[in-house]
Amino acid sequence: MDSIYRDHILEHARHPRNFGVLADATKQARLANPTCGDVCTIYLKIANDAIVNATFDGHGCALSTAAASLLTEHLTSMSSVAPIIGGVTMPCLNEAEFLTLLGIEPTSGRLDCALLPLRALNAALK
Amino acid sequence: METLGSRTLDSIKSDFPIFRNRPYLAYLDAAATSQIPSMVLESMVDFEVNFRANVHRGLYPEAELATQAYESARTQVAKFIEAEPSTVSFTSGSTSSLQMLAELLANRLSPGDNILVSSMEHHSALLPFRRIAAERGAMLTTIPHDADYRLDLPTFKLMLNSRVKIVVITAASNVLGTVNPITEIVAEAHKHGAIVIVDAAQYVAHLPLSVKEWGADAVVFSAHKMYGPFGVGVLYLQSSLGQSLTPTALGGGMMTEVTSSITTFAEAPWKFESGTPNIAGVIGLAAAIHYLTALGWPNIVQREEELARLALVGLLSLNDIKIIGPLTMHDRLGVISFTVPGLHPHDLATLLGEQNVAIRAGHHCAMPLTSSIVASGVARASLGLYTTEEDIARLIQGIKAARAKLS
Ligand SMILES: Cc1ncc(COP(=O)(O)O)c(C=O)c1O
Repeated sequence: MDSIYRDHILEHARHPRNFGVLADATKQARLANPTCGDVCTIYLKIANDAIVNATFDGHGCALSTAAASLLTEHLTSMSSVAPIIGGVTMPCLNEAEFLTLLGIEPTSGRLDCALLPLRALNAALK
Repeated sequence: METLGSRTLDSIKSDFPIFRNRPYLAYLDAAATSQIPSMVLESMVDFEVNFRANVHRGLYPEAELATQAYESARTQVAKFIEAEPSTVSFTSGSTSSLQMLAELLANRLSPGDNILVSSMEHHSALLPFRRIAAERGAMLTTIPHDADYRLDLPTFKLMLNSRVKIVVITAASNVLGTVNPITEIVAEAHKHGAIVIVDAAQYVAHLPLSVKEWGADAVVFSAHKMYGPFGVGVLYLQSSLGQSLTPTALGGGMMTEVTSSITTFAEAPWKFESGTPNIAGVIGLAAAIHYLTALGWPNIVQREEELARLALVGLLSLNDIKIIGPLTMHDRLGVISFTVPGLHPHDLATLLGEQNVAIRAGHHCAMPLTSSIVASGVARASLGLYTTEEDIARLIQGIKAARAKLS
């Protein structure tokens, strides 16, 4: 079994990118995972149908923190224009793609931790 | 050399096939389920391959043997808890025993009555009683625990009055490890005419259980937490209470006569066992009891207390770790919950799992309790007969390593 605590996950957990409230956010959503107390809020600034900035805050395990960090990093580095769904540019990530982005394969017991930020993002984009 | 009574730990471990197949496993999750010894498995296979038949209804030798084994298991369970066989019904587990109890007792509640439950109840004990309280317009009130994670007995006594019809109390908490003073709780509750239901799921494998001494009206437990198989539980109902209750689960095997319009129920305990029971499982439960009894209670209690103390001391030696439960071994089991600042319990459990140290993290089906302590839940290590000092050393070492990795 490969560890989910790969170096890049540990590094993002220790030093999360884009952590904090986004003052000029145009959309945001907060999701909680009651079984482990994790809370994640995703803040998005959307202009001209594209995500131009993304941050997160909340508290959680190393996995959900690293996942949120990697997700917001991905969103803020997106250059090409992605398909527009529901009025905004979709980050085009389904769950499988997001796990590929994270570069790990969480066991079923930890999947909800890893996916919490993605679900918060989808809630924000709704 | 580590011993339990006259047995070495090595020889006890070799009773449990999982440790032959996974010798590297430090299994510290007995509170969720214990491992199972070969002799229990063999007793069930013996039934399946040599005299498999349904109970109670056959007139051929195999059915006779199956019925004998099943009823003999009932006698052995009864003896194990110092009860009469007629007070012991088999269910599919503690959860189904508690659910059945709530259904059996619901019609004793009137609007304005009260059910007392302790703050440490498992969801299986809390939720069915919360539901019948709501359905009958009754209240459900929580008996608090004190700062030492022990039941607040003075407050409990103040909460008792004639409107309290049912008290639900766990004999030992699956989170805190606290062992509650059941005899005293029952005596107090009985002064006010309340029925006392004891959840012994965590208790039964670790301390001798006497329903006679407790004086409880109902006691439940599961085989799989006491070295027995999954899918079997016990519902003890004090004799006159059991006789007075009308079964709610209806089906085959639990009535003496059914005409086109009337049903005559069998006596207790059979009237609480509708349908074909888990016969192999019940036989396995009796074998598990045999296994425990052969090791001897004083040996088990002493060994588990020493190990739990070792675990407590080891955990407390780690910087600012917090034990969620009593700090002394007085009235306490080796079910040890803790939090490590800066380390989420799920990260800790996953990292330990990668080292083959099996603990559990989260809310342990006792969310009103755990979420009042910490939103992320707690990590829990729980000990069994096969736990070694090395397992505990690996736990402590693993926590240190996890901490180093994530900070
Ligand atoms: C205190 C307590 N009560 C009840 C239960 C439910 O037992 P089962 O899942 O075997 O029905 C458990 C098991 O986790 C428990 O620890």
